[in-house]
Amino acid sequence: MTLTRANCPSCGAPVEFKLGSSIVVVCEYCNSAIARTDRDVRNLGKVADLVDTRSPLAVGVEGRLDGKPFVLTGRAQIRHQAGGVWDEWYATFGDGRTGWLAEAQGRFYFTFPNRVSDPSQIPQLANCRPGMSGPLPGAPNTFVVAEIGSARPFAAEGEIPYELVPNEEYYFVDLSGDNGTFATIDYSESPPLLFLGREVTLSGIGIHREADSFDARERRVGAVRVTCPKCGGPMDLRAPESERATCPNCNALLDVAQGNLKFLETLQYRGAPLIPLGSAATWDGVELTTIGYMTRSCVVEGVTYPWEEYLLYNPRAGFRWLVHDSGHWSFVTPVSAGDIFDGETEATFHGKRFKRFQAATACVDCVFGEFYWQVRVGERSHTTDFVSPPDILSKEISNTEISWSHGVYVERDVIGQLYPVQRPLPEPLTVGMAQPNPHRGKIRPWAILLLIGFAMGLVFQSCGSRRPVFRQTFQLQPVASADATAVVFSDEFQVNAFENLKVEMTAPVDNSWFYAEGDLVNVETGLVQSFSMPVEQYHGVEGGESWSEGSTHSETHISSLPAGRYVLRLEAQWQEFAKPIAPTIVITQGVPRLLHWGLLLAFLVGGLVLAAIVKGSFEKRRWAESMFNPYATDE
Amino acid sequence: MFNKIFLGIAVLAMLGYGAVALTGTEFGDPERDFVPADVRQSPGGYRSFHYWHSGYQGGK
Repeated sequence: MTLTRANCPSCGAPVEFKLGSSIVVVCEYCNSAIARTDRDVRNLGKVADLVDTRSPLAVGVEGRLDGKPFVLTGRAQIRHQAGGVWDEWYATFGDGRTGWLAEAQGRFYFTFPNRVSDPSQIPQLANCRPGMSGPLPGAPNTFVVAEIGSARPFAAEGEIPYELVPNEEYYFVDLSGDNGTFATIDYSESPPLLFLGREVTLSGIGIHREADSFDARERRVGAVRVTCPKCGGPMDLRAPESERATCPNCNALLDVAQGNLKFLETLQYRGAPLIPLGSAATWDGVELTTIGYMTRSCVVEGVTYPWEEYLLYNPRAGFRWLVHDSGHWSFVTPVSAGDIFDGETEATFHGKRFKRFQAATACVDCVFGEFYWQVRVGERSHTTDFVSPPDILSKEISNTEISWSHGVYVERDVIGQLYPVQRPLPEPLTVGMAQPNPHRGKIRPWAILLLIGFAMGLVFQSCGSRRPVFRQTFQLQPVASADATAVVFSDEFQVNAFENLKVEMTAPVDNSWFYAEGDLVNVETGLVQSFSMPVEQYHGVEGGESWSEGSTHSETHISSLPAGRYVLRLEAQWQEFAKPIAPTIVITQGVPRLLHWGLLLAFLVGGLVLAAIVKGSFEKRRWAESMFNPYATDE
Repeated sequence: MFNKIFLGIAVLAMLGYGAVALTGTEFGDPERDFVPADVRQSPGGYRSFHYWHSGYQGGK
């Protein structure tokens, strides 16, 4: 039978194991971690006092996950090898299940222990590398190794379902899957323990007391005034998660350690942030306070490329970044590695493909303000940027961690409107890697117009009536001289309104010419529409080569005439005036003009090509800044 | 800005093309005039209206 009540071996106070799954309970009086066995209890050592992480959660808080109620019955505080602290809340469900709700940097992950029948399916710690992906037993999807690290539990409260030995170091691997799935492997035992779960929000798991807690927390943020241990000057701490801060008075870099400031070094340079620290602006409906500023740079082919990063913070939303690079700005949000397919030269995020733009080793040149990790000048990480304007994906990888972030290009004017900038914002000198192509939307209208123009032409070509209205061969008798003319009149014929007229003339000329001037005369109104038509046809042999030019046929088009009865008056001359000639005149109405259609299409194609050239030119200038320029030619 | 202007011109060109096609308009037509019936029916009546050209100069 398992013990449920005992006395603390350290202080003798009564302790109670309320849950059947509990292994350890923390003595409320002396902070001893008391483990129970089948027969008695053991003192695992004293845990430290809980650090105030300003968590919105507490032991006893109830919630629902997928409709199943749970209650938080214990809490362990873990210190990361890099110095940070996170909370892990032990959740007990009504059906007996137990899970962990981990809380770090404003994000929450609910995981459950997963029994693995074949421990060899769990990757060994030595084989894990940040960024590597693969399956996990019990999970349908693949996971990406996001972090490899070690940690020590140092404080606890309530009941804990494992033998928590204070300050005993263990190794872990955090893995990220798609759609917010999450896994962690705990190497404190053999075989390792696998926990599977997903990222959650407090409101999503039915914990609504966060509002009050966050409001109280937000009041505290910005109100924590501390004294610099180096110079004694006042300074503000705005984020409880901060691990490093600089003194605005003496530029000392301080270890924060949950509010206990410790001098580390005096920084030579604090930079010149355009956006003042402490200023707040609303992004995506969340007010974010600027708490940190750093400059970083990379060196490519001997050239140093610097940029600035502003760390933004909101107690509910966690951390964001505002990145300024050569006059271009982007708002950056951390994303899970599991949501990204990293194809080296391409990356895919939420169905959108990004092209690799640059890869380099970034170095921290200066820091100013607060940071949630133990930042230091000279810190290096390998970064790769992928772009799909206006979006940008950034990967930073170190020996122990891979982190991805998603940025969206922000117009410079927006920054100027949102923040009380310290001086005029620099003008962009080059095309930004995520700068939207201002000519991007200009091809489509031209393509649409081209399609419409093509369709219009097809309709007019197919709907033209091509109605014959007149056809006659005139027998012209010889005239006295080449200057003399022969005049003939036709019979009356009907002409319709709103249809053009195509006049064709065929004259049997052979190495000679025929010329006629015609009048279409409305017999009712006297309206006269004149036209003229020459016909010439020549051929011969010259230097053994036969040649010919001209034709026995000629045609012209006339605008539509008012409807009515018309006669054709023809006055003609011809070169061989001494011989009779018999020209044939054919008049057709409603003849669609290919020439007009062609001119329209040429204009529209010209516009389309011009728009494409302008757009392509912008892209060329963008990629000229890239080390993976697809437009570059091998020289 | 320029693109919008050019697009506007393109739309006008399309409308113009449609109008030309629907009304049977041609470009570069010789002028039209009126010759009253009494003039047309009198001998040499067209001469007073229609000055004959100076003579065709075609030929190879």
